[in-house]
This record gives sequence, C-alpha cells and structure tokens, in this order.
Amino acid sequence: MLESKKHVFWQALLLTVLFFILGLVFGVYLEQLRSENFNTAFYQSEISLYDSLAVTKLSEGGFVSCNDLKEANLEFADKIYTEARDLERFDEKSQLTESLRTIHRKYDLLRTILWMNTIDVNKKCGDLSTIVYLYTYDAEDVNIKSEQAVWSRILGDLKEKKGNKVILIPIAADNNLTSLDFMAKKFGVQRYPAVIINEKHILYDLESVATIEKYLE
Amino acid sequence: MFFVPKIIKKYSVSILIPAYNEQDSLEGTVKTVLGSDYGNILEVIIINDGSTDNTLKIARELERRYSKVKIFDKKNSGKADSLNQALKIAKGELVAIIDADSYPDRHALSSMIGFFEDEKVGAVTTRILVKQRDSFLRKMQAIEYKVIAFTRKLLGFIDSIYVTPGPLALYRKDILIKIGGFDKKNMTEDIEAAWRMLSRGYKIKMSYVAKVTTVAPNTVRKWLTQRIRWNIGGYQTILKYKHRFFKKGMIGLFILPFFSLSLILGVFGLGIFCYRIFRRILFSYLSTKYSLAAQTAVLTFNEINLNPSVLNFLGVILFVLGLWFIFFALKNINGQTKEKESFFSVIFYSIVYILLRPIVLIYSLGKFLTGNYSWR
Repeated sequence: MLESKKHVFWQALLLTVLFFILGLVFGVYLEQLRSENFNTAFYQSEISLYDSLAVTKLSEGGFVSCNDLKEANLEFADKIYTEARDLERFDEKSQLTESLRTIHRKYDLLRTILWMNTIDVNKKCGDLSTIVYLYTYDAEDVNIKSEQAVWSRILGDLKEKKGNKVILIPIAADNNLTSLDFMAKKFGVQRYPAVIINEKHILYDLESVATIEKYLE
Repeated sequence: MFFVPKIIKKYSVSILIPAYNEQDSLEGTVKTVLGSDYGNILEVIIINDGSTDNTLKIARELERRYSKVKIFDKKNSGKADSLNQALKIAKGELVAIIDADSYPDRHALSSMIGFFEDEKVGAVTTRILVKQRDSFLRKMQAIEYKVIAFTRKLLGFIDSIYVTPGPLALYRKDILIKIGGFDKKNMTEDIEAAWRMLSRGYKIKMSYVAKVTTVAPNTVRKWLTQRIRWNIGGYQTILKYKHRFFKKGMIGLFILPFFSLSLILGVFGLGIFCYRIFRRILFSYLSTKYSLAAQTAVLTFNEINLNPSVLNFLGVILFVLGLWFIFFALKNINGQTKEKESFFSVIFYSIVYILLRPIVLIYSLGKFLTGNYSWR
C-alpha cells in the first residue's frame, strides 16, 4: 500500500513539466501574435515608403509639385511615428523570442530611409522641419533609460503641438544598421541619446519644448 | 493520506523528553504523554539538560507521582548530546522524542506504531500544529505548520521526508544507534538525523492521522531566533551531504536538489526582486526629476501600459497556483481539525508572511558564513 504511492511523484513531475511547457508555448504564442500584428503594419509602411520614394523620383521629372512632395513625405512620416510609439510600448515586453527585436530593426531601417529621403526633399524644396531622435534600444544604465523616457515625452509634446509641421523620426541607434551608422558619423553624433534638428543642431542634454522650438525656427 | 497501517507487533516505547528551562510546560507535556492510548509505553525519561529554573524540581515531583517517569539529570550540553546519552539508557524498542513544550494527541503514538511493520522504516513523524493561536504571529505560524504538514505528507509518498521534527518523532532505537545518534554540531539535529537515516537506505514515514500541538514563538524575536536556527541547520546539513548530490537514492536525486534549490531561490529570488524594484524606483525618480527640469509631463497616457510582459503572466500564474495550493492544503487538513483560518489571514500569509522567509534566509546565511551562531 505504501510503496504503490510512488506514482504520485511521477504524476506530479509530469504535471509540472506539462504546465511549464504549456506556459512557454502560450508565452511564445502571445509574442508571435504581437509580432504578426507589427509585421502587417510594417509591410503597409514599407509600401507607403516605396510610394513616397516613387513620388520623390517623379518630382525629378517635374511631374509633382514641391507642396505635394512635402505633403506625401509628412503623411508617411506621421504614420511611421505613430507606429514607432506603438512598437515602443511592446519593446520591453518581449522576453521569450527575438521576433519583436527583428521587426524593430526593420522599422529602424525604414525610418533611416525616410530620414535620407526627407533630406533629399529638403534639398529640393526646403522648408521641412525635421527632428531625428537617436536612442539606445538596449540601454542598461538607468540614467540613460530615464533620459530617453523624458526625451520621448518632450518630443511627443512637441509633435502634438506642431502637428504635421514637423517630421519626427525616432530611430534606435544600436541595431547594427550600417546606413544609420554612416548617417550618425556624417552628422558627427558623439553619443546617445541625441536629437538632430534640421540636420544642423545636435542636442545631447534634455531641453524644454520651447527651447527646441527655437532651434526649429 | 489518512492511511494507518494495522499494529501487528506491539513495540515497547521509551519516551524521551529533553528539557532545558521548561518549567512552564513540562508538567503538561508529561501528563499528555501519560494519557496516550498506546498500551506499551515502558518509560518516560525527562532529560534535564542543566536547567537553571525549576524544571528539575517539577521533574522530581512528576517522578514521585508517576511510576513510569524517570529523570536523567545532566550538565548542560545541548539537545543532541542529551538525546544521545539518554538513548543509552532507554529500554524500549522504539524511542519517541518529544519536546517539553509539545502535546501529542491521545491517539498519536498508536497511529504511528503500525508504520514500523516495514523493517526499513527508521522513523515516523506526525502532523505538527500550533497549540495557541492567540496572536497574529501565531495565527500565521498555524497556517504555515498546516501547509508544511500537508507538503510533508506529499513528500512521504516518494520517501522524501527530510526532517523528523522535535515536537514528536518516533524512532526505531537500534537504527538510531546504528547511524550514530544525533549530530552534536548540527543546529537542527532532527534534519541531520533524518538525512543520515535516508542516506543509509532507511525510510521515514508520516502518520497524517497522528497529531501533536506545540507552542509556537509569540514574539518576533523568538520567531526570528527559531528560524535562524532552522536555516543554519539546513545550511550545515547541505554542506555535510554535498557529496551525495545526484547520487543514487532520493537523498541525492531529489531531497538535496529540492532543499538546496528552495534555499537558493529564496535567497536569490529576493535579491532579483529587490534589484528590479530598486531600478524601477530609481528610474521613476530620475525621469520625474528630468521631466520637471525639462518642463514636460511626468507621466503620459502612452506610458500607461496595458500590455504586460510574458514574465508578468508567469508571476501571476505562479502566485495563483501557490495560493491554490495553500487553500487546498488547509481545506485538506482542516477536515481533521476544529480551528479554521480566516480568509484575510490566509491572504496575508500568502502575500506578506511568506516574503519574510527569504529575508531570514539571507540573514541566516550571513550568520552562518561568519560563524556567528550558537544553539541558544
């Protein structure tokens, strides 16, 4: 009678392993679900970017006015910015898989291309206010993390105030993107977080919305 | 759970009551023991371990009144040594060791004896419950003891009971002598003896029907002293048996890893928890400071996150399962006892009281590593 109870151990062990695997599968499934949603959004943004690039190309032949070109670029930039904010909310929540990180890299590449395209449009038509916010994705230092959190709030406030009069492009700078590394080098970025305003001013220390507005003028 | 093997052989029993300054409870314990319904108790030996109060005087009075009561008076040398010396004079085939502030149920011994029909059984333990639940601290311990009793019974199904606690444990005397008695250097001689017994291939069983009530500490100071002793004893025992890790047998394959892992998780779990909380607080402080300096919002709607991490889910699931286990254990054991716990007490136990364990574990580890401890 006493000996026959040994099966309890195996039953308990089996149940534990089963619960553990179920939990793991559920966790991976949840993350995959989130990343699938972002994947879909990414493809839509990718299409919009190509569309925007095509409009820029068309403008070279004089078929598109500067106003239309700027509007197309602003519209796309706004879309990317909204998606960036959504993605940011999930960034720290991905623990089991690397899928969200990969999507983030793709978005960062897209944003870098947008930045380059905006520079081209600016050269051609001028008058576009651009803010590029370069931050660290894997910031471990609490000081840097809190600085970045406050930069996000400041730039969010600015974007809300200025609406589509300013293009705001947040890009994670430590995602191993060669093109972005070249851009950062070109503008002489020393450290992150850094805010590049109209490709002229680089801010490293936190500033108020009012001060940034002055740089934009 | 409540299975009790039929008594075929009526083993003779010697009862050993080690006592050090137990003037308030000794008489009650002896009277309860003498009221046992088991018919073959040969003797009740009170071991006076150099008490400085009236323990010896009370013991003498008890010896005068009851023919089975004997006194073994000795200089103070600790519980383990007292028991080892008393083992030499005990006449019974089995020895029941009972703390002088514990009160076995009338049927306790008779529902433990049957387990010795299996010759490999070296010791039998029981449910230990808290005697007086007159303070909040004792109410918490009452819940804890019940959960421990339930868990221990579950461990018993796989021959992994790793302690024969002081309030009441019944030993086969010749096996106890064969393994060398109790370790005088160990702070928890009951854990060490159990491990030694298991490592020599003997079994320890638990009678879930048998019950002993014991006086739990009523002040935080006494509670802390008791827990530190338990933890240090645990560390000493792990170190002593480290060579058995992953070796054949339940001690190496289950008890040692299980016991060690629970200590490690207790110590490091709290460390990781505190580190994360500290980082969170520092982050909030710095970002608030920077936000105020930059004249921006301290918190934005976008930061209120309704998408928790998968690890948060895991934490919640673990907590719910833990809570379920506690309620299940209490429901199971409360079917046999009159005392019931309030819902608030159980929730407080599950959220606050349990969290004290890692703190005491770390404190005990510090004392253990610095060698700053003694039996009393």
